[in-house]
Amino acid sequence: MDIKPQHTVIDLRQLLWQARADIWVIVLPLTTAFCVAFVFLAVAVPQYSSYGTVAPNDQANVSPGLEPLVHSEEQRGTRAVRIAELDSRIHGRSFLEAVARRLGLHRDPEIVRESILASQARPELSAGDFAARKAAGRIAKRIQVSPVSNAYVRIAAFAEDPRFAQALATAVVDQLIEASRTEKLSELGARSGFSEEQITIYKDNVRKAEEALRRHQESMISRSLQNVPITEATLAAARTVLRGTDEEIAGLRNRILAGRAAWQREVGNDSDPPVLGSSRASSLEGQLEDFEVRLGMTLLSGTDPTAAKLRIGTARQSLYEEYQVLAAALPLSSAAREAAAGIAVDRGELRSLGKKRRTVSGYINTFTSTQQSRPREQLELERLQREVEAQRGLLLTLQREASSSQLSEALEVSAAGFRYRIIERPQLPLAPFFPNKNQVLLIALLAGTALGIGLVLLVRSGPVLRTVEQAEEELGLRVLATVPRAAGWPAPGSFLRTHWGALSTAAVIVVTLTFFAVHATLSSERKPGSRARVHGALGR
Amino acid sequence: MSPAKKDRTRSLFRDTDLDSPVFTEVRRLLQMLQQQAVGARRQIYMITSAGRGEGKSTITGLLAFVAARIFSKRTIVVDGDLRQPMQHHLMDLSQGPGLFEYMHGRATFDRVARPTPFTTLRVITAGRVQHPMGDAYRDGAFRNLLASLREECDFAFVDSAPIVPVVEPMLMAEHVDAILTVVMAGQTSIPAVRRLRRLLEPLQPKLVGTIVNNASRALPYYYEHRYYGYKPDRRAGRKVPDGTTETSAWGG
Repeated sequence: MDIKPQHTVIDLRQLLWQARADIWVIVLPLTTAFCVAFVFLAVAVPQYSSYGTVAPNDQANVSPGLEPLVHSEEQRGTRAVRIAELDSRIHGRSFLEAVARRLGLHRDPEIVRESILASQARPELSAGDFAARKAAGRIAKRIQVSPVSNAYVRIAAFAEDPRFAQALATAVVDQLIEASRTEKLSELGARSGFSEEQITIYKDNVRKAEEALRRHQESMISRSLQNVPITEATLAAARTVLRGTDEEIAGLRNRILAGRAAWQREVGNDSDPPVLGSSRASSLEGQLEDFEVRLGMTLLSGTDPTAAKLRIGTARQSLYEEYQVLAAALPLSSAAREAAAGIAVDRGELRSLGKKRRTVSGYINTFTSTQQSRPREQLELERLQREVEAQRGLLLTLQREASSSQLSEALEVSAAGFRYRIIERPQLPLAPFFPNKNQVLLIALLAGTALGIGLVLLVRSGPVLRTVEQAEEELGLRVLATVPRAAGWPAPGSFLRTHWGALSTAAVIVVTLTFFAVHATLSSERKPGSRARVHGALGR
Repeated sequence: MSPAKKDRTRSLFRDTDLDSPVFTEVRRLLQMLQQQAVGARRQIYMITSAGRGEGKSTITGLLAFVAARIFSKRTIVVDGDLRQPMQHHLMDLSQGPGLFEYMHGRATFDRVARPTPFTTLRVITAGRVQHPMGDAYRDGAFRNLLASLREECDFAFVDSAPIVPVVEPMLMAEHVDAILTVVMAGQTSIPAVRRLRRLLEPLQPKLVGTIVNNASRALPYYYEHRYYGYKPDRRAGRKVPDGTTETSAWGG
């Protein structure tokens, strides 16, 4: 069976063997890195951090009704933008100067001395201005603003002295709250004036909306008050009355044509019968019209029409008798006079039926149009009602805002509604955050190891014979022997060349120990410096 | 530092263990050279290298030591490095008289071929050079010396100066039977090796092979004898057949 030899890509034994051979190339950078780390830990000035936590509250102090009016999209912004704005604000010169004044840093003797000298060189600026600027410059890099969780902002202050760190953080937070309060009150005052104008505008809007609603409602009411005796139930009866009236009109017209023919036979020509008329006839015709209309209403209401028909018959008879009297005065035969009176009665009745038809037809048309326009009117009514309610709501909200503003301005003490709320006040730090010993040592370990490995690779990448095969190839000769170094014999080359690793490592350690010895001596002789100055500036 | 103390660091006659890997390799090498010499009539070997500090003096001394001590051959070592001689340190001898005195007619062969604790091993040190270096080497005298060596010994090993920076080794190489080169693993630069190869091209027939020094430091782990874990039983090996205790090569 053909078994192929399996070669591992990385020969661990060879790696360890090479590491042993190049042990000093690894040890020296590692030792150096650790020595540098220890020196750094000894030299680095400890930094303490104190921080306060505040909650931005600039989006919640306006009622939702006024949100679109008061806050624009740009103002609302994202959280990151708001934190960046807060950071810029805190690191602004005016804010830092206010914080420095709050801490009394502008009275620091050193700053005052430097400011006096600077003001002499620049007469256009006073020593106070210089002092404020220098004090602000000193604390600018000691303040950091960073987001916390999803809603809060951490304002941290760094200093060599834990008490100064706490004082600085407290001053920044207090200054932020105070500045926010001042600005808020100013805005509230501005908003109060703004509200007065808006209230006048919205009152006028409410009045206009209510007037439109009132007019619409009156229109609807007036239409509903019209005496239209037709309902959904009587609409069919009304149309039946209308058809019956039409039939009666047609019958009367036929009868008028027949009477006209009889008249023409009696008088012997094609002339029309004369128009008969008197005040009593007009009155009787008016009664007849009224009775016809009432008969139509009676039929629509479904009550008994007998009495109405009886009154119509009586009125028609009276009208006929009146026309007979008027026709008797005509110089014609009795048959011709009878025909003329009959035609006049029919014409009067035809006009009565025409009025009844118009009346019933008008009722039907009014009912139909009312039915068709009712949804549109209802929608318009609802729209107008909503408009009135919206305008009243805006007015009410505006009035409340105005009241709230005035109340806040009057109180001037409440933090409610201000832009920032203090969640956690700065505390005295117990341990320095810098330098982080574990972190520094870890970095030294990683950097030293990486540097050592890098140096090994660099050394091994040089053009030096390292394998038997390489020697045979370069020399063109067979390697007869590979002779190890004799045990106990010194390595070839000079002492420095053969022991450079141990010597260098020892030198690094000695230098480091010497440094620590000198540093300890100097530290014991050193007087309190910067901390005392800071304490003096703080007046504590 | 006193001479005694300095010598002690490089003496072949003290603190050497015949069972050590160094001697194992040198014995193997000498065995190989002996086999090759049978048909080729090789008697005088010159050991050289591209530069200094590559171990040619030590290997020369070891070869002579093993040839005389283990193979019981009449052996003579010649320190041909007149500038930086080393053999008198390795052999616990004074620097002169030696090769310089012989080449300049100030000493005879018998006087410069000085004995050592081993009767089969003699050493011709470099001598105390008193002329300018360019005038120190005398080619004719050196040829005469090698003629004497062929009569007086079975093996002669000439420890020469490095070839690249010095010209004398090339002149000496004209008269020797074979040339061995030495490179130090992890130290000898490849450009220097290439230069050595070009310089030795005219002497190609005499080139026998090369020796890689410092193997346990720079070569892969399998060149290290400890990797194989084959160590002699110390208690059993301390007794030699004549009843004495062997503590070192010198003690034998």
